[in-house]
Amino acid sequence: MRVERELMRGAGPVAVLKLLESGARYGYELVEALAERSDGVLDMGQSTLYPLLYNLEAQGLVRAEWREDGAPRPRKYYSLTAKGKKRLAHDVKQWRAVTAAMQSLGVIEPKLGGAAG
Amino acid sequence: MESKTGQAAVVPSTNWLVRVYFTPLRDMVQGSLSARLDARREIAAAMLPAPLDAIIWRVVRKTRLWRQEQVDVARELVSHFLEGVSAGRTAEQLAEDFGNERAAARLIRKAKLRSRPLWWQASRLGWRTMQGILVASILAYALWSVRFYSGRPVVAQNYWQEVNAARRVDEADRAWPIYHEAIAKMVGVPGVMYSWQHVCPGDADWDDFVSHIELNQPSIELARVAARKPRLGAYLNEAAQASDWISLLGIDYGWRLETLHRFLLADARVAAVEGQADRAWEDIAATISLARQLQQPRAMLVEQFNSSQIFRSVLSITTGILAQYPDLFTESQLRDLAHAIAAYDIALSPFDSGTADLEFLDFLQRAYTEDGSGDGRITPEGVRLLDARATTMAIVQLTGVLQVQAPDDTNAALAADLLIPGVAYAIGSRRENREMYRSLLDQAARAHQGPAWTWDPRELDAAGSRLANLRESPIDHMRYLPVLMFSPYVDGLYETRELEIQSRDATQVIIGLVLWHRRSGTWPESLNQLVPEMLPAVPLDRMDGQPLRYRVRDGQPVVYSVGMDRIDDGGCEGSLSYHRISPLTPERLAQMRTDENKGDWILWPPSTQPKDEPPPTY
Repeated sequence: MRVERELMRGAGPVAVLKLLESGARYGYELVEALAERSDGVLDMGQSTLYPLLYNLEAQGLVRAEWREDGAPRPRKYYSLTAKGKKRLAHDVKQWRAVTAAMQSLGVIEPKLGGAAG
Repeated sequence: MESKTGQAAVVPSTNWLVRVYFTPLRDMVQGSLSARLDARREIAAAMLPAPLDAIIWRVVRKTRLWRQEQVDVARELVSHFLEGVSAGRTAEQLAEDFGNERAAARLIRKAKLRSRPLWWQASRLGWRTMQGILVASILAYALWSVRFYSGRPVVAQNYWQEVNAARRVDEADRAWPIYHEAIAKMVGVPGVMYSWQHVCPGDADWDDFVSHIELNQPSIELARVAARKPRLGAYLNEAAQASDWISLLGIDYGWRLETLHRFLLADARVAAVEGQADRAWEDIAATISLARQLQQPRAMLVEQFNSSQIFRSVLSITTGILAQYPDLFTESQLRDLAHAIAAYDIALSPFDSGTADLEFLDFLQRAYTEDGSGDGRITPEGVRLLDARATTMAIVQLTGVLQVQAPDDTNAALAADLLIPGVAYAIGSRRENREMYRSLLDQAARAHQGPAWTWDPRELDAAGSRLANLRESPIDHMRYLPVLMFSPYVDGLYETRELEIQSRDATQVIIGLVLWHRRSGTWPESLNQLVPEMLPAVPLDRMDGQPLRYRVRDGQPVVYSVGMDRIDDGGCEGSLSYHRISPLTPERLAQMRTDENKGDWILWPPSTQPKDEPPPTY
């Protein structure tokens, strides 16, 4: 199931920032990882991902650079900036609060063995 | 260049001009037409399957980004699709996963614009602000235009009807129909009639002058008959509008009577030369009567002006005849003349008749809307009225747009229709203009209170400069355009009144002197000797409030005023005679008065100045 656009607008950036937390990634890799790790819920085409990445870049949350790194063709890697890390921490806190609120409302079931996230 | 499917969907142009366009300046300086800012080269070089390269090109093109930005986007999308192909996905799958191209282009553009440099963001903000202001202005202008074009004046009062009601007279007592007939019978007005006051026996023009007067005897006789009627009985055209010139309002009879009076006085001069005292006296008396008839109840300013012109003209001719032919009239005729002159009523204020602002009030009701509280805004009809009256006025220079409505030029008429609401916006409201008009008249009345010698020159200057300031300020000129177009020459009217009084008083003195001389064969030593038999009192000089000056020089009497410099130069005529009666500030006086520039205003005998010198204008 894919989420609706409005929800994706809020979830997409934080999801991308979270994926970049572990290290730099290029566009195709991000698309694949989003689809795979969210069971297709946050699956987004290039038409959504690249504008999202450009927006994050414009806000100074991610940095982009073309790298050769042994691949047959250059890839554009995105990595978190210090500002991006701060924003991620802030957004994660907010999402946790939202999730907790949703859980207490019974909108979402609590996962056994730990908090959401 | 072909793709892996054998199709070449995106092919970069080989045209050298296109290559130049896509080549950075640095490359060109180095002699290379690299065209590396052409996104199509980037896409084509990747040799993607046909549907994919076309998708990239369409998205990139729709972003309408700078060339370098397009290349960056193209390179990234190419890289993405190549990754997908390498991962074993088909072109169709990748194309399907791409999503909406148009939305992608729009979002990419939006995101990329945010990354542009600060100067670009600032200029974009400035440009958008300007666009916003422009749109808001156009909208506001459109709304104002609709409001302007929907404005309609309400004509609630017929002022001319009220004036006519006040001056209505029995048909038997009306002089105007007879004058009208006399004017209709006038035979031409040759050039000589324009300098009729200066033509003398012996001049080359004299015979022409006399024969023209003879030719017009029927008109002159009719004028004498009309002058015996008690009232003029000339009415205003009640259908006239404020924009109409005086000919449509009907007041042009004043100017026509002014022409007729020249024939009467010219006839008096011819009669005096020929020694026909009765004929000359009758002409002079008729002209005084004509001037008095023009002072109809609720006389308009222009009528008062015409009357004053005629009256001063008859005084000038009379004193001229008395100087040249002192024995022409009988003593009884001289006394009657003095009484007729005294009977001419000189209003204390030119605005006593209460008609000074009628024309303006009529304009306001025909030009403005009426909001119920005496205020309103200018209407299209109001602009048309102003335009119709603006023939030679400053409105043409300021608002040339009002003059472009040539019927055969639809573009110009359209431009005028579009621009006129803007011009109208600058014109002040009904209340603003009415109050300014009233205020100017009141200020002028305060500055001209009492006889001329009591006027405060600084107050006069303040009143005069207020009107001048309105004219000079482009904003005020437009705001008070109606005031400026309708404001009478206030100073001139007050000065005219003072000139009338001075001339009338001097003429009474001169008649007294002639009577005295006739009885005693000498001239009196002082004007006091004429009191009380010839004069009730010695009149005062309007220039300084002192008794009118008099002296006998070389056996001849000289009656004079100190003139505009208010200094008695012993009755010597000079350049500072009477070009202006209003007092001047001490500074102005000091500036004007020099050894070469001085003199008095000689009231009698008539001026010895060259004949061709233009008379002072008021």
